[in-house]
Amino acid sequence: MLFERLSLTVGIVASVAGNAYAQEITRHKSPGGIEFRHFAMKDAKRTAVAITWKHNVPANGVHISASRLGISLMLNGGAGGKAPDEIIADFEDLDGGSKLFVQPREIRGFIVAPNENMGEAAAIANDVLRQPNLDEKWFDREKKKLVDNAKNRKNHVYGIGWNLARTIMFSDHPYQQFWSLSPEQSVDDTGLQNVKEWHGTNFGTDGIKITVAGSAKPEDVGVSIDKALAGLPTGNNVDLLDFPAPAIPSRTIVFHKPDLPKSLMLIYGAIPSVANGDEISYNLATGVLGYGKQSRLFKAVRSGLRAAYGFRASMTRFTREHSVLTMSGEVETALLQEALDEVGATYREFKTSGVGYVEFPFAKRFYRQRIEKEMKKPSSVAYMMMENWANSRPAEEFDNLQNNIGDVGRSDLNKLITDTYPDFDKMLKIIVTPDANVVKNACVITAIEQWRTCIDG
Amino acid sequence: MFWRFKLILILIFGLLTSNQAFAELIEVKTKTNIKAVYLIEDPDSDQIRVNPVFLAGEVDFDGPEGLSHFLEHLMFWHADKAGGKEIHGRGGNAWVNGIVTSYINQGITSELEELFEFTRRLLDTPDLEKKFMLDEKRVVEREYDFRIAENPDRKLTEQMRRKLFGDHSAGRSVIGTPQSIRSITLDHAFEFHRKYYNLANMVLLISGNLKPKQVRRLVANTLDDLEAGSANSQSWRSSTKFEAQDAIVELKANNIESHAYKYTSMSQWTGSSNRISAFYTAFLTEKLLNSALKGSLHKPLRLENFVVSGLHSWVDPLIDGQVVFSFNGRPDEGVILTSVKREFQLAIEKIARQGVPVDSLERVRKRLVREAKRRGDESAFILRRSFALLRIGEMPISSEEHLRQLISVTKEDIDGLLRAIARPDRRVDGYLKKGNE
Repeated sequence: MLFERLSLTVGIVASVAGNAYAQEITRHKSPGGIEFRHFAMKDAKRTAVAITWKHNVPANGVHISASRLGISLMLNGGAGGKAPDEIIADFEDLDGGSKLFVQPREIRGFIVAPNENMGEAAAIANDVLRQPNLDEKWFDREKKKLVDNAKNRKNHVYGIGWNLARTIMFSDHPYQQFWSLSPEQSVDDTGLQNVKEWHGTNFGTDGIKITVAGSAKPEDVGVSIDKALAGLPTGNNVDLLDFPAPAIPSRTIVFHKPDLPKSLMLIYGAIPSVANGDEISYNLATGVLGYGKQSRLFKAVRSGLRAAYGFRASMTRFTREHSVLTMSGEVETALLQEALDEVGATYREFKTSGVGYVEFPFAKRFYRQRIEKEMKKPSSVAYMMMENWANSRPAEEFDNLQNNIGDVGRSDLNKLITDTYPDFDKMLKIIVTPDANVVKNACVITAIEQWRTCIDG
Repeated sequence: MFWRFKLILILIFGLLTSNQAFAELIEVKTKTNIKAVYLIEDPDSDQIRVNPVFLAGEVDFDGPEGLSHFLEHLMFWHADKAGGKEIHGRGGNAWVNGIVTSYINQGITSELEELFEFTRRLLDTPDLEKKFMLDEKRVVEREYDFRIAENPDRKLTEQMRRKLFGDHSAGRSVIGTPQSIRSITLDHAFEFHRKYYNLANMVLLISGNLKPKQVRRLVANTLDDLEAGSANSQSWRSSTKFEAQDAIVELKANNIESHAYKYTSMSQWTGSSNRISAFYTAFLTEKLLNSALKGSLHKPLRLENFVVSGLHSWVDPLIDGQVVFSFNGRPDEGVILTSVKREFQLAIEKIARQGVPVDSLERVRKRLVREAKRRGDESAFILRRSFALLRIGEMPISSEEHLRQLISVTKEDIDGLLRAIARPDRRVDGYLKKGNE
């Protein structure tokens, strides 16, 4: 059996997963010649395999939802000539789990199973990947759900707010249409033949990335990987579409819909790509700003102003090259202006002063604990390894993850906040509300298509 | 025949549990008046979680709906000032389910005293500024907005529950409505707190790298001087004769695209000897109905035919001698709601008439036993099971006992429950439709 083991790194004694033995990402090849990266977790009770295919949505914006429909159909509609109930029940017997989801530039698949069942799980995965039933009636069911989903967005504050934000940032780029399920007609126009074509061209074995974490031996996992991918075409020549940096205008836009039962505030600002190596620092900073009950924004808007149930900050990664800082929360309609002022004041203070002396060690502790918790789960470890690889970061960064958290210094972190976090005044503020007049100096619209009047005017 | 079946079960149990060491849930006996203390030892964790659970909730109140939830908000803020300072390193949260009220505080070893002080402070009358407490009602309204305001499915569920339970307090809404939340007074909250937040109603669940001796000392240091107070009798659980009822609730909403059919029913069911075995019979039945196996609802309604998607069933033995069964589903294209109702009824009646296929039962059991073996030493898994048992009025059980219960449910138990479900005394059909409210 051909089996190469190419050590990527010098051995590092890490305490991840509570195991006091050397742990590192190692490189392997399956008997069929498929490369994968492996991370041993000797105490894990299952092993996870993550697979990433390169993917792209159609450049002409037509049948943009074929991939989403295809994924739903593959997961639910049976495969290999077997009925859906048989596939589902057989997989549920394995004490395993699986996922398959799509983004404009990637398709991600996960299988997790006890080592003794990995072979069977791989065989089912192969049926699903290679020969999904793609039945017309199942297609109609999945399409109805997606069309309903697209229509529902027009009636709910988050659907309206996010679709408006993406439209402003990316105009009618196909990726925006993919995320927003817009225009609705393009979803409805998608046919089963489009799904079949999409499936036939996107699951090749060339250029795939595979990561494995768990207690299974790499030799055994290699055999299962071959089984899961057997019979898939070798080509996967995907040319990625150009995708511009988000255009974030410094505007306050009120989307007015009188019959909404509540109001939502969404604030966006561009930050450098978090895939460039500063991910830990951005996670720490954004956590202090808006993650959990002790965050600055929660204290300002919930505990202080009492205007919201929660208010948070997060990083939205549209692609690996494009990250956006997002602050959001549902806010009492009558207090929207006060809340906006309060968020602005809190954010400006944060950008100026950074993370406080007392906050800093706690932020690191919370973050480290979250990582430690995830590092006990093979599926999370396989995912994080995949992120490390897909971001073209050195594997050592993953091996040293916990040490790297400890290495972040407060002054460096605060410099990064001051230098790279956007000015509040330059951010895009979107308010979705039943009250058109509650926020001052805002551009008021009643349909997403009117967004240009706020930018050009 | 029956004994041969039993023997097979015993052999399967032996096979599945041999050489299996579990990190057990241990009951820690203390000399305080607390109802019970349990420890889940987790030597690998540097986190300690202290989780006081009060055996009281919305079901124990008859004023404006949402009171127990509002009080949970107040008490978290009050207790959070443990040691006179706001939390920094500790993490915390709280939740209610209508039956019990649970608070979580989490930290590291050096914060152990604070974690226990948090628990003690839950027993004090909330000491917060009056305006702060009253303003918290607005936050609860925002939580209502977050969870319910745009969600007609949840609104319909609440209306159907009220209809099903009639005057019985188990039908009360846990979060309430904006109107009921506004009409809650601080006196309501203080009175509820005085009546139920005491040691006789408190179960303490602790997990982390601790030994029983440490826990015993900490509990004694924190709670030793406190009276037990009155235990909540939870008399609402006792077997009640509900009058027969067949009702329909219809809700129209503009912000949905797909219609939904919902169903809830209550049946007399005395098939299990005690609440724990009733719980496990219901648990396996629910898993079976939600599986893709023969004997499930998914197979005839979603997987083999195109009647509904997004379906789910619940089996809940909350009240002694009764079982509540609920079902949700969204009709497929071209299927009208009354057809869903008819097909669903035919399916559940057929399952009850034919009984659970032995192969399906054993596959479901095997899955659950495997999961229990794999996750038996995870504190999150043990806690989830413990909360479910506290909700039905029982104390937490060990992982070994959990396995024993999974194994001991028989085909006859499940068939009896399915027959009861198919012949309800009270039933409510719910139709969610697109249209003006």
